[in-house]
This record gives sequence, C-alpha cells and structure tokens, in this order.
Amino acid sequence: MNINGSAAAEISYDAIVIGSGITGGWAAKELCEKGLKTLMIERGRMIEHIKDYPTANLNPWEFKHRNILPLKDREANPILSRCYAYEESTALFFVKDADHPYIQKRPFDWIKGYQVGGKSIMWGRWTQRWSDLDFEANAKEGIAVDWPIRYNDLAPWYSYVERFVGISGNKDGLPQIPDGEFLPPMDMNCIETHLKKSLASNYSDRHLIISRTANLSQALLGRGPCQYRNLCFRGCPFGGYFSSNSTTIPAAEKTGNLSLITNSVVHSIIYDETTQKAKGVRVIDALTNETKEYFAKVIFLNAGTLNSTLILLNSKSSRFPNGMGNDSGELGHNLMDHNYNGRISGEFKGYEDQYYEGRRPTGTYLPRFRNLGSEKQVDFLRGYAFACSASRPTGKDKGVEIGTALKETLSEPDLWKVTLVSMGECLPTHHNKVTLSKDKVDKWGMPLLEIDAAFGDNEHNMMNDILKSGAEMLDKAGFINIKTTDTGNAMGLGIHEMGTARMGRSAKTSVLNGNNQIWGAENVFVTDGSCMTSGACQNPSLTYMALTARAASFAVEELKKNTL
Amino acid sequence: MKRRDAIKKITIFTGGVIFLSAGIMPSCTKSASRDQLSEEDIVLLDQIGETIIPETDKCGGAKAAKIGIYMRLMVDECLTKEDRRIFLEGLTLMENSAMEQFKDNFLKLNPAQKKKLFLNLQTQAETYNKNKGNNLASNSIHYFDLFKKLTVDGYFTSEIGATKARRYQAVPGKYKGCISYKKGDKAWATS
Repeated sequence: MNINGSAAAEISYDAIVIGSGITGGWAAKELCEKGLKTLMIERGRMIEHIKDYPTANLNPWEFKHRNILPLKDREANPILSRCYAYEESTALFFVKDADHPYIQKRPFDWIKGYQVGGKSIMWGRWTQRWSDLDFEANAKEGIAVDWPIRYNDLAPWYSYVERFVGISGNKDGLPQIPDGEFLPPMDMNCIETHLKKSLASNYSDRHLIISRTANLSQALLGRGPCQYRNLCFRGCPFGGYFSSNSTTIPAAEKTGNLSLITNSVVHSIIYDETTQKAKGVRVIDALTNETKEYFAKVIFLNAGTLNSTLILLNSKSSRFPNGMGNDSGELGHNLMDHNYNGRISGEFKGYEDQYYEGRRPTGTYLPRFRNLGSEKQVDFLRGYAFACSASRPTGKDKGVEIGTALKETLSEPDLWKVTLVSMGECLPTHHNKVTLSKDKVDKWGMPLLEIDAAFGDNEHNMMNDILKSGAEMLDKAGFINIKTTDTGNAMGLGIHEMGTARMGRSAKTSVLNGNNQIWGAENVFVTDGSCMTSGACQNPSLTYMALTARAASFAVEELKKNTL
Repeated sequence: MKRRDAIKKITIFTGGVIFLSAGIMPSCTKSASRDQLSEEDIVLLDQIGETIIPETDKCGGAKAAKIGIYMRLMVDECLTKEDRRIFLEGLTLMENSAMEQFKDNFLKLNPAQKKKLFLNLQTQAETYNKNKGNNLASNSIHYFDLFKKLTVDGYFTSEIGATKARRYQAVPGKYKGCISYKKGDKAWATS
C-alpha cells in the first residue's frame, strides 16, 4: 500500500474514496477488487490494525485513572463527554471538541472519530436488516419522499456484506428484521430467557432475540474468533469484530490497487463544466495546510454523514452554485438520528443459582412492534426497538455496612438486572438541517457546519409510549424496582446522524438517485449515512455497507460500459 | 452504537458536574485545613480505605491495593472541584469527629474504634441523604459517601480487588449464558 509520499507523486486514479470509515472501507475494497486503481483519502492519522491499539490489552488497574477520564479532559470536552463510549481506554479514537468546532443552532451532539477506520473502530456492531416496512413507510404515510429502492434491491447486498463482515445471529423469522447470513448466535443468559418467555406468553408481537452483531462467533477469513472480552471499542487484537482496519482495508490493500493518504482534509469535489462530471477532489494537507488536487473517473464520498454534506455544500460551481447535487434545495436537510433517551430498568428476585461466564459483546434485542401489521398507534408514526442489557451486577454499597461485611457484599453478585434502552425512529423533516457558516472557518479554512435540529412531536409522543410499554413488559415479567427515565439528551448522541443528502426518485426533491449517484454529477456516489431517506429504528451501519457494495458494483459496471 | 446500560456509566464524577452550582453543605462550617493532599496524607487515606475494605483471611484490603495513592490521584485529577472540596474538608471533619468521640487522633485509634467512628459517620451521611430532597442547598454528596465511593471504586479496579476479591478473566475465550452459582462464589470483576 502507498502511504502519503508515493501516492502524492501520482495525481490520477480510476477512483477516489473520501473517508476510510465503515462505508469508505467497503467502497475501497469493492473498487480495488474489481481492478480500479483507488485512492483513499483520510483526514485523520493512520491506525494500523493491532499495532495501533495501545490500550487493547490493558487490565483495569493498568490505566492511570482506572479508565476514568480526568476532569480536565471532561471539562475541555463537554460534548464528547456525553458519549457513553468515551473513556480513558478509548479517548485516543475520539475527536476532541476543540479540534473540530461546529455551531449548534439548537443543541446537537456531534461525536466524531477522525483516523483510518473512522468510527468503525468504536462502533456498536449491532446489525439488524431493514425490511419493506421501513422502505415503504415514507410513501405510505406521505412523509418526506419515497425511497427509490425496496428491500429486494438490497437483500442480495445484505447477504453479500454479511458473509464478509461476519454476523453472529439467529434466524428468528421476523418480517420486520429479515434473517440474514449468520454465524452461530451467542447464548442468552437465564434472565434474558425468562424475559423472552414472559413476552411470548403475554404478547403476540413481542420477540426478544439475541442481537445480531458483527462479532465473530467463529473464525472467518483469517479473523477472530471473538474472545469474549467485550473491549471492542479499544480495537481488537484478535480481529474479533468488524472494522475497516481489521477487514475491508486489508482486503483492498491485498489487491495492490489501493493508495491511502492520511491527514488530508477534503475541501471540495471539483466539477468540470465541460464534461459535466466531477473530475477530482481538492484536498488540504491537515498538517501543512497546503492544497493539492487529485483526479479520478469516479468518486465515492464516504466522509460520514455530516462531513459528506459539508463537502458537497462546499463544492460550488456555476452548475451547482448552492453545493454539488443541490438542485432540489434538499442538501443539508432532513437530518435524523435515533432516540435512545428512554431507559427502563428493573431487578429480579430469582435465578439466584444462575450466573454466566465470559463477557458477551452484544445484548438482546426487542424488535419493533408498534405500527406493525394490524397494530396502530394514534399518537405517533413508525416505531422503536429496545436494546436490552441484562446482567447480574455485583452487590452495591447500601449505606449500612462497613468493613468485612461490605467487602463480601461487593464481592458477590446481587439481583439480576435488566435495562431496556429505546431505539426510536426519528422522522425526516425539512427543518432539521445543516448549513455552512457564512463567516466562521476551522483551522483548515473550511466553513463551520451549523446544525439546527431537534426531536419533534412524533419522537416525543413515541417516548411516552416507550416508557409505558417498557415498564409494563418488565412488570408483567415479574421485575421489581422498575425505574423509567427519559434522559432528555439532544439529538446526535445516538451517533446515528443520517440524512442531509437523501436518495429519491427525482432531482427535484432529492440529492441522490436510486444508485446513490448525485443528480447532475453521476460519477459521484454518496453511500454513507447522508444518503438515507428515512431512518427506521434499526442500527444503520449494515444498511450503509450494503448500499455501498451495491453502488460500487453498479459504478464499475457503468465504467465498463463507458456510461459514467 | 450499542447502548448497554449507559446510565451505569454515569459515575459519581459526572454527576458532580451537574450539581456544581448546588451550593455548600450546611455541615461544612469549618474552613478546610487542606487545599491539597500531602505525602503524609497517603497514610491517612490508606487507613480510611482499610477501615472501609479491610484485609480478610481471603485477600488483602484497600491498603494492600494502595488506595491512598489512588485516592490522591482521583482528588487531584478526576473529582470535580466541588467534590474535591468536599473530600478535603471531609478529612478535617472526620479527624474532628475522631477527636470528639475518642479523644485521640484518627491514626491512633484501633481498628474497632475506627470502624465504630465510621459507622457513626455513615449514619450521619444517611440522615444527610434523607434530607437531601427537602433542601435544594444540600444536593452535594456527603463526604463519607465520597470516601466510600473512592475506596470501593479504587479497590475493585485494583489488581488485588479484581483478581482476589472478585474473579477476573483477561481473555475469557468463550461465553456461557448460564452457569450454576452458589452463595459465596465471587462476582466477575468486569462486565
């Protein structure tokens, strides 16, 4: 693989991929494997699989602050500190607040990871498929615009990426999350099995399943298997989960067709008014602020939802005075996230003779049951899933013991505990948007992004039902001390920011067509979260990967036909 | 991303940020005699920790886990300014209580006396916590709860606490959803 020096000597490639995260990695792998000389551009530093995971094998006592972040780091990073995965062990993979400022018109937490691999290093790895319930929803309800594709368009690509990623899961036969190509599922523990049985006997539409996850329950293609350490966010020295670093980038590298440049901030995509195509990208060296240009026949934009849209808004030309692909005026609009703010926890007396061994890197999942089939809600559209975390925590200090008795209490497991975390769909709305600041720029001269978005009535009404239904299910299953919380977090903290360059059926109402091509600049493909027309309630990365593999295959076919 | 019990991760430390402006505790009427922790204080902190989590015949306690050094690091680098103040003032309050109750320096008390003192402080903390909801000015943590919290967190993330008091597997290699458990079996050190 060429890194920096040698790549800089060349300026023309068959393809350029902007970004090396979960979709950029897939784009590079697919394009390289199909024979295209591909340049991958990453704004952050190099992270080599295994070699650059310095915290991966540290025991709790080997961290200076025992994995607690020092006050100065928390004070310097009020936004990032709200991210559940930001710890002493993972801090090296997250962008610090001061390093990439943005403007919040309304509160929005933008959590970023700039390095080779992007956020694929510390992603959550849950991978349920979408179904036509999701792809048809906008059209049926008259919300936003219709998706230009349906489940059948994506199903083979879901299979294609699942076979390579390695997804542990069970064939559950549920239409709202179609079954895929699975490695063996991980076990449920006894309280999860209890809850599953209780739901099955009390409801016809509630199915607790083991969450499908991009962790290898069996070795696959020389990676893994998972060692059940549950330290994935630090990078895995066993290659036990999917990341660009462990999987797609090495595959792209193996072809000999990949060049990778790091510390390179993409300024804009260059549009050629004569050929009416994009011809390359303008890049700012993050260390020297020098500007360079690279050229290619096809460009994949995979900078991550908000940065991809920032780049498009900043790619102005006579043809696209308001940003590349913005004929519709929808570029930057329809920003979505997922609503993870609902938490319902309960304890259970019983199964005291049961425990578990090993640290499973996934939880259980309660797929959507609202507005499904004949079930209809009057207060809100769409639905939500629950991520269910179930364990037997250690005994707690109840404020009565001191000394040996306290030590013993804290050294033994206590009651089983379950926490349901909501994963609520967020509707696409035009007024949830991002724009470019007219006067403020970052240290590379890029205009700051202004984010102006918030959850709306549909999300708030859904939250009422989330707390009610969650508490009812735990109550019926015999849990005690049931607590419900709406954390009230701002949008963004689901770290599923998506939309802002949506796919659609017409250049008049969308930014991308059904193959993720920019309307009017068809040799530019945008296949990260920005392309999403709606958000569903499933974790989105699997869908992004499938869309990317599908678009890359299409791009190569078009190149062969000389139609790009 | 996976949202496994995010609430669980909101520690006392981030909680402190929220309550930063909550005002001072009514019980803290004396000015602090420390504005930082000295080398000598490590001995005191070790004894506080050891009283809360003592050595038993099964394994070492907080002192063996070097809790004093840990607590000083937390006070210096991790606690909020408010919690740091409460901790430092709390040391003086605790020393005063020892003097009042046993007419002697805390470090000179025998283990039984130390424990008795701490049980009293725990009762004070309990009363304080019960009144918390009624008094907006006293939303802060009680210093004795902070002593306990730091001792417990530090001990069970130490090598002794994690591997001797609890059970620790660096690389489990497998996951079994159900294994049998009998009272007295140790808890896993990490989840």
